[in-house]
Amino acid sequence: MDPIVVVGAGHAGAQLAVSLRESGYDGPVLLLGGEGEVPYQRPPLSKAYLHGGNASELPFRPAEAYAALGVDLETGVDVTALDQEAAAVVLADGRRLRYSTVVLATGAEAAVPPLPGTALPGVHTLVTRADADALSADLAATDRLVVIGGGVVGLEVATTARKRGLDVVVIEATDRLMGRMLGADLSRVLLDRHRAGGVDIRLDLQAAEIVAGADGRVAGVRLVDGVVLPAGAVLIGIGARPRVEVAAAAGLAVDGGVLVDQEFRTADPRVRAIGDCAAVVGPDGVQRYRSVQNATDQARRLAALLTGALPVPAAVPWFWSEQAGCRIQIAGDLASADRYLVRAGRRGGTTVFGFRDGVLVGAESVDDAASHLAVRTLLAHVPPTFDDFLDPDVDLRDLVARSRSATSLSG
Amino acid sequence: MTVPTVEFVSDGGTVTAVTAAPGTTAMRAATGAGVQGIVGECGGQMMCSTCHVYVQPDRLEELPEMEPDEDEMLDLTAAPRRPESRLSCQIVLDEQLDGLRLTMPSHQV
Repeated sequence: MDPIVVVGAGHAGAQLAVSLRESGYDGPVLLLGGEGEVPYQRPPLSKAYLHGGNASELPFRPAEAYAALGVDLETGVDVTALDQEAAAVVLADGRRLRYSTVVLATGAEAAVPPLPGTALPGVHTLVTRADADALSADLAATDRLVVIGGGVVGLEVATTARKRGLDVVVIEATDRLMGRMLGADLSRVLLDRHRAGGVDIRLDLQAAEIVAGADGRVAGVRLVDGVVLPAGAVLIGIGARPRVEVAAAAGLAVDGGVLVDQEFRTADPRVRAIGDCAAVVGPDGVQRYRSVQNATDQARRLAALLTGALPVPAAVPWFWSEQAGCRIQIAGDLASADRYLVRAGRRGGTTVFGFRDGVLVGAESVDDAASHLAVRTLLAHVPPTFDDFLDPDVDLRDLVARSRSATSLSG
Repeated sequence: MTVPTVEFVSDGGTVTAVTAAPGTTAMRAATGAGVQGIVGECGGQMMCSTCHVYVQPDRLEELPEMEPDEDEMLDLTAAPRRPESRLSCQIVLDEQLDGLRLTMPSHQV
């Protein structure tokens, strides 16, 4: 029997291998990782791990656990092509491995702007543990970091670098931080918190060039206005690109990710894709969420689909970030809201609730984990309406209890 | 030095004993050993409440008092909260906690 071959051992791939077993699949599973390491968690790379965390804390589970599960884990393996006719993956070392189903879980890579100097020593992006180690070494050797891009990775690294005692400047091309994810209100809260924490944030400003010093290493970032910000290290954090090369070379449809249906199938039903590299075509258009939650949720659902186990309902999308001493959490689809309501949390913090046609569709929070969790539960059951929130004293826990009982009555 | 062992009891009553290096959280001990019933989606950052457990009541007092954040999040776990509810990512195992028994709820998400 040919194995289910999982290409990519990040959050999606590693979860899929484990979930296949948990769903009762007893055939062979081959998990191929491009990096030479046991699958590990990525969120700490810009936070605790970069601050001097312990590498042994990163793996999801020890290497032996995969053997115990009957999962054949091979790391340091690059898949270079798919041979759909032969149902085989082609590896960089020339091997061809047959599959019954192949799942592309190749993730995303950091986007790099078309600027001179991005290849200089001391210029970093951050996706892998090796990236974090290289960045960490350079942070130890300088006292000035410039971050290009005011998004999640850049701001988390800026926070960590401040904690490590560096002077940090963040340059952001738009007029606010985390603009693709956060609304204007919380974006402003975040800006204030970063500035209060000593991070120098410059909005509406673009880099023109990364400049080298006499030693050939990065020495600074020249801005479009001609000013040069000195830097011993530069982090580029302007977003990510799904890794779709293998799918595209095989002639599979690619558009901002490997296009798959709601059961994660490409046009070839034996080739599926999940996680950051996948773009799911559904009734509301193409959806691509880049988050740990999305990767693990898709992995669990695909495992159930491949094994005929009970269907796993799609989870409410959620995302978190920790930066500038605050906890940012986003749930649901706030971008589709047509009306908003801002509410203080019970213990400080703020949540912005979004409604479409009068019904709750999502929320974003700063330092209000309880409201965030409540919203996730509410969205998974019977979401409340805008009117339910009109009483300023309404307790979200009561709404949650009501929503849950409404679901069980109807279900 | 004793290596702490923690017992995870499934909702159906199956007991899995896991040994963990001192300083490891119960959540990581469970996920590292592949114990089903602990999800730990956020990796232990107190963001998701999917590592909810019921601590054996007679040893509840041996655990450090919970932070207000944990207390609030326990009001919103997928399975009902009980007086002995904790988030297992906030239980740091040490020799003193050797033999601790944690029962997992029927569901986490």
